[in-house]
Amino acid sequence: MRTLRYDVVVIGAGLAGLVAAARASSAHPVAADRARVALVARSSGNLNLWSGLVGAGRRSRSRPGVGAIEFFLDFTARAGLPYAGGDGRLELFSPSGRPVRPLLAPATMAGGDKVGLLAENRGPLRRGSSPGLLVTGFTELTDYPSGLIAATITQAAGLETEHRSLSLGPPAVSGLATRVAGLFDDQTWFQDFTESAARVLGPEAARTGAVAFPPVLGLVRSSENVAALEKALRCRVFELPALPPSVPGQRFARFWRHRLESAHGVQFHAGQVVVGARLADNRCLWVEDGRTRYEARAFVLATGGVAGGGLTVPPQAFFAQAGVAVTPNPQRPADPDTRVTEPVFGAEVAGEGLDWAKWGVRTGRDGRLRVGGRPLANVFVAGWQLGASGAPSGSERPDALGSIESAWRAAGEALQATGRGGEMP
Amino acid sequence: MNCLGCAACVAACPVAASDGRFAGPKVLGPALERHRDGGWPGEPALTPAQVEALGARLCLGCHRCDLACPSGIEVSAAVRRAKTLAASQPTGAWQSFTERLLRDQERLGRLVALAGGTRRLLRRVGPRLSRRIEGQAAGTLGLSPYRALPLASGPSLARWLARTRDPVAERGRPPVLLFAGCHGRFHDPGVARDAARVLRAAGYRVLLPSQLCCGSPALSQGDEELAARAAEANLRFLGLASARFGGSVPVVSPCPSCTLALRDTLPAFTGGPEAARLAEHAWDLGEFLAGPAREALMAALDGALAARAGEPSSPVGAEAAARSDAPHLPWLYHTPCHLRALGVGRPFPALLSALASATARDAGPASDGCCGVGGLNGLTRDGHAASLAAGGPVLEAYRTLARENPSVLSDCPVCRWQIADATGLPTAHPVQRLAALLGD
Repeated sequence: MRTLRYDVVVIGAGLAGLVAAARASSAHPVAADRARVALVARSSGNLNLWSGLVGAGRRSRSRPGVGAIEFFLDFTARAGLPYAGGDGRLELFSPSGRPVRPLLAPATMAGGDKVGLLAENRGPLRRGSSPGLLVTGFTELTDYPSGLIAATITQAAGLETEHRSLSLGPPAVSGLATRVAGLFDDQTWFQDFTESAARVLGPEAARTGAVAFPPVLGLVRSSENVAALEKALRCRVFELPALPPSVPGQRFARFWRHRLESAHGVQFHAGQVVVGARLADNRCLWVEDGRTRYEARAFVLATGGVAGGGLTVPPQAFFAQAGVAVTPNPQRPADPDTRVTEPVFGAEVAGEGLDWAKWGVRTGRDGRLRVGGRPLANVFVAGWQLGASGAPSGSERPDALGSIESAWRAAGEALQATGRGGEMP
Repeated sequence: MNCLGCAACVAACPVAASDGRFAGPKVLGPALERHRDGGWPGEPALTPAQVEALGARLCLGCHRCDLACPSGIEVSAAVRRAKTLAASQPTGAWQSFTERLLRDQERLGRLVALAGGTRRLLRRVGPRLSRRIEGQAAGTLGLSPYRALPLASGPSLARWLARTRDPVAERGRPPVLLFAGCHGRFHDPGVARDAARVLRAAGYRVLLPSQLCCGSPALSQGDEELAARAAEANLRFLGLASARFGGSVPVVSPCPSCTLALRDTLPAFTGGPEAARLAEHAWDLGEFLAGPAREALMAALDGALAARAGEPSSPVGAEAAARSDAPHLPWLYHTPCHLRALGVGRPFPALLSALASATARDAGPASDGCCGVGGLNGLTRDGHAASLAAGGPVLEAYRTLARENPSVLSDCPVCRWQIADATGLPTAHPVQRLAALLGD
């Protein structure tokens, strides 16, 4: 067995894993003194399925976890993928065109702010007034129902819309969103597209004052492309969110990973499934993937929810290793084949009357795993793994904001546990 | 198979993003497996022509689909089976000869090495003429005539190792077996020589066991039989070499594709306890240097740098700048897909950053992808253009840094080849930079 030593090991590379790794590796302004952070993950999480919007859930939109949100906004801007929001004022549209009030949204979507659109719209509620939004789709992007979205926006938000379907022209691409987005990264092609869009959409854009595109305006160059389209169409341009597979989620994974690797020295151990751990004196000493042992002073467990599975431990094998007795979750009998990852660290809830996590591990109120009634001193849980208990103010299900908040908190606690908490961002 | 059809593998696939002929990993992988395993009752078996029509052979074998799958499916292995089926189609005699030559790197390597003397002579006579003749020859063999073929220089690896060995100093040092790969043995022994230099500086005794091609080129061309034969031979050779020292000697390779084949791919389909043992001892060079060898290596580098600082003039200037591995030039690191697939992180950038010898450049998130060459497809006459398209975004990202002329460091020989050809930037294996820092 080969051994690697880190300060913090994050298990899982979805939203929570990336946020936790970002905070754990940001702690010190001098790179050489930063915590050495590794990310061990089976895949890149389910960010492929994520629209990119961060909802506020049932929490107060005015005072969500402020530190976590500020950190998130700052890091993602540095990573080159700026987000907007955080002040409780965003009002956008869902993938079906219904109004939603997310807390955070990619900057390329923030132009779809409903209040702004209504204010700019000359007489939005009167019949026969000029339309307020031009919703475009691409004929090649067959699973993006732009006509339906336009109709829903009009019906649900009282915003007049027009609808246009554009052809992307040569080269013919399949309907896959990722492929279309790749085309938008090609600057020569994009220049031609911008010119033809200005020609085709120009008059309508001038009338409506705003144009909505599907969220495929580049895997990498989306910010630049939105700005270029705004210039060419001389109006507000933004992306609407869409159903999966989602390009904004893919962008997020790509930009954050790149930033973490290139600027923070985070090591990504991709494709690795954690299959065991060693506990002693209520501490975790290491986790292993069958070939490599990852020793660390603190661990963040962010292995996802129902479709997660970076950490699949057949309970029997785990217990044998950890040497702890555990009461299985009565609602979910131990099944080595199930992809649900409880009870990994031999966690149990010591009669605190806590809601059951719908899936994932069970923790105490403090979000910590418990062994023998005592919390593990250096293992911190983040993201959907926490299930409903991860949503602090009682949402029924975990969400993106819960992932960001819990990961931020878990990384902070992990840094404290490594003794580097004094300079936490 | 637990495929949910989420298409995360398709989103991660560089070929699906650039080549309309390719049906993509979801269809060629899990979906075809379903047909294979339990199609409709009475349904005829899939024919090679059907699978070929889906573009099975266009797969680069980059393994990005494996890392993307949220259900943990080995998508690339399923696509490889489709590729093997497609490759079983009979072809013309000449085509089958050239295809065979390409996937049998032992033969191709020997052929290239044999031609080395003639090529050197030709190049002396006239670079342009030699380029034309070499292009013609490559084209006849089915290789792309537009690739600058590597030309080995200096002594062969075995000869160099024997000549530079210090038997007295080596006594009692822990041994490592250097798996140099076809590239190190035939095309560019300079990288393997530098790997040996650095391993020796870190206190190891470097041995070059008998070895064949790792089998990865054969697999990438859908020849599982040849790959299995190579695997068996290497298991025997490496087992024998290791047994001389008690049986648990690390096998270190500077090529991530070789390590991936020895560690993951081949044991999975040859099986057996020896294969498992080899997998346990197979290391990527960077992983080894940043892991067990780190402390000794860092001490050696510190010593070398301190000694260098005392010298009256450090080797800066035109002569040093001409060498792509000159330690003071700006560098950027390209992560090979197969290093990603190994899951060992990015050990070399971490080592180089710790040394702070020169600033690392960053080509941005666009560069975080496949360079497009993967396997061998991109080296062929028919696959060259498609490989440039598949690597388009990454290569474009590097081109934007052309004015700074950074040295592109990458562990993978074919990545270096592709990047040098497409961008004109100097490339090197990161271990060459460490060797340059160590000096002679």
